[in-house]
Amino acid sequence: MVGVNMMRKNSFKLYGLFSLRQEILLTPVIVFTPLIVSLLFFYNAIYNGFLCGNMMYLGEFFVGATVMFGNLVFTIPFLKAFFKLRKK
Amino acid sequence: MIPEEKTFAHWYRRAIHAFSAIFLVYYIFPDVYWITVTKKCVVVLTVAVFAVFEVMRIRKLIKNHKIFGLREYEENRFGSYLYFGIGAAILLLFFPQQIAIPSILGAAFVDPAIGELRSKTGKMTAYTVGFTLSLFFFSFTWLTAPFPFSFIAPVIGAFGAVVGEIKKFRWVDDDLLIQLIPAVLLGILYLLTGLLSVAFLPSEIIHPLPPPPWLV
Repeated sequence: MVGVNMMRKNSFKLYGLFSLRQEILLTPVIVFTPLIVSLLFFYNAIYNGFLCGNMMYLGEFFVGATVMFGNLVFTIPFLKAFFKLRKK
Repeated sequence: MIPEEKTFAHWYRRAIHAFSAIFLVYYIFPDVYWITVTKKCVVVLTVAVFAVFEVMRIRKLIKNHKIFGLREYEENRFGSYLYFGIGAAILLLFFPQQIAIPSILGAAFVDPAIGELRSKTGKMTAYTVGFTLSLFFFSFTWLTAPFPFSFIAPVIGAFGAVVGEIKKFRWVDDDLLIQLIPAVLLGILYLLTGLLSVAFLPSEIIHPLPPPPWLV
């Protein structure tokens, strides 16, 4: 009985995952990809630039900071709207 | 659509806009011959795939042809995301990065910022903030340009970006114009200074990662 209940619960979970719409499935991509990309810029700026005393890599730092900050500005209200919608 | 869904759709569009700044990752991949060719091919193929998808969507060849977040007027024309992609692809493939980077950053952040401010503070404030933000992106990129271009180019770029946002056409989206107008204006200046043998461009601001030994 416990096994059947568990199966039912898991199948609901799985069904729930596939019934998500494209915009909801894309949410983690929209949120995390810019963060990863900006970290890549920071890595290049710090590892190949600042640690070697090369200030030419300031541009990478600027682009990384812009991508991260700019995305946070629009992602926070987006996530708020997302969770509000999920509650409904 | 319930109000919560409308708010979500609104911020979804804004978040997608800001997300597109990640295209700049193009410049950070190692500058090895086959990687350079591959990344150029990826840019062209991505735009081609989305263009085919859009044609199929408009002709209603796709079962679920309604895409969340698309505006009503985009129902029978290409979605603005495709215009953004075409603009970014042109910039990445044909323009020097000193022109492409601030243009793409402008389209990714200035366009949604103006859109938000326009409804909250009015057009004048929105365009002034948009101009300032765009000027900041261009100024940082052109900091090392020879005088007087370190001053002139950011003003031209920011002016072009705001004009691209203000001017509305039915068949051409502002996501394309906000990128291409500043880039074309600066591109013309670049060609003219090239003809006169005058140094124009600043040094590059994104340097490719050094290729790992196993990759070369």
